[in-house]
This record gives sequence, structure tokens and C-alpha cells, in this order.
Amino acid sequence: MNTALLMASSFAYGVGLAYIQCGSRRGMVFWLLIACALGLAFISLKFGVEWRNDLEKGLFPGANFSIHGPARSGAQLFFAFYFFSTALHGLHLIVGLGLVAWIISQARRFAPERHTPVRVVGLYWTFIDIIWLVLFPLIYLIGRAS
Amino acid sequence: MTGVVIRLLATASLMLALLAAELAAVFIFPGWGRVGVAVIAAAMVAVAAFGFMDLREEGAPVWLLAAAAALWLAILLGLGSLDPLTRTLYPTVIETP
Repeated sequence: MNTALLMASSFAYGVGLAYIQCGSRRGMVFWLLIACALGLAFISLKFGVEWRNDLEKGLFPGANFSIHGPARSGAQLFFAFYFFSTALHGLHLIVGLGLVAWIISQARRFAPERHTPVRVVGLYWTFIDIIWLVLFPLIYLIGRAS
Repeated sequence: MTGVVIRLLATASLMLALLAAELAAVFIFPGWGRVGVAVIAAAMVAVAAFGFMDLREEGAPVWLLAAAAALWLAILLGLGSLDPLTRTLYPTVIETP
């Protein structure tokens, strides 16, 4: 679900970029708002639902870690990587949201022949998507694959 | 404009199909293994780079730099997760000389 949200947000940003290249600021703002909403949905699901469930289950590494037995140490190591990497990715996404909000606020300054900031922020936005495309299989899939 | 949107839509659709294949590689066709998952993930990164970042409009030097960046990203994140995913012995045995 989260991965699909990020892919959709990159698509929305791409359409917004295409709109400003055609001279439509209103179209750009509309699609960039959609990209922002999808990014916010990702953050809400990741930190508001997934992290919350994990923390309630006592999966944060430390003295109160809820997994016991022989797997405890390995599980703590995995969840340390999980919390650190998802937090770092989330931080980058929040910075990206700020940049997209800045592009929206400056929309009147952009035109088909002058829209480099829109393009550069778009590259950063897709870069966040790409980091997730690497992180997602490492965290959720590789460990389950044979 | 329509052409750009169709291309972006095709990119997003292809990435969704690859995401489905990635999930299938784990839950439906476990024989594909970790290598299968890694290959599909690399394909998704390439599709995002060429489809959303317009890498296809650039020349070979930019492609090379982008490939190097993706390689280092995979190495850094891969090495970071290698220990949590593969270690079976706890605590680590430290041999004193």
C-alpha cells in the first residue's frame, strides 16, 4: 500500500511538471497538491498506524522489548535497522513535502521557459521514492524469501 | 501534454506490475528466492529513474553516474541490513588472542 502511494505521488508530480511545461500553473498546483496528499498519506500510514502498532507491541529495541527467547537479540537488531531506516526515510519525505509546499507557494514565479526549481524538486521527490523501492524489499521481503 | 501523461501512466502501471511480481516472488513463487526479489527491485528503480526522472533524455555519462548512485545506495542499505537478516549466532563470539 505504502509503495503504491509513493509511486502514485511520483506520477502526480510528473503530471504537475508537465502542466507547468505547458504553461498551466493551476494544473501544476492541483497535481502537486495531490502529490503532497499522497506523501502525507504515506507518512500517516507509516508513523500513525504501522509504527504505532509496532510500539504498542513492544517492538522498539531496549529493556522492554517484547520478543524473548533465542530470537530476541536477532529481532532487536532487525528492529533497530527497521526503525532507524524508516525514520530516516520519513525525515527525507518530510523535507520533500516542505519543498513541494514551497514550489506551490511560489507557483506564480514559474513559466514554461523558467521552471528549473520545479524540475529539481521533482528529481528529489522521485529520489525519495527510489530509496523506498530499495528499503521496502530489504525490510519486508528479503527476510521472507527463501 | 496527453503523450506525457500517457507515458507517466505507463510508467506507474509498469511499476505497479513489478510491485505485484515482487510480492508474488515472496508469497506465491518462493522458488524465485532473494535474487528474484533483488532483480525485480532493481528493475523498479530503473523504471522510476527512466520514467519519472527523465533519465532517457540524458546521455551516457549521466546514465553512468545514476547507475553508480543506485549501486552505492544498494550497497549501503544492503550492508546495513545484512547483519540483521543473516546473523544466527548471539551474542557475537569474540576470540581473544
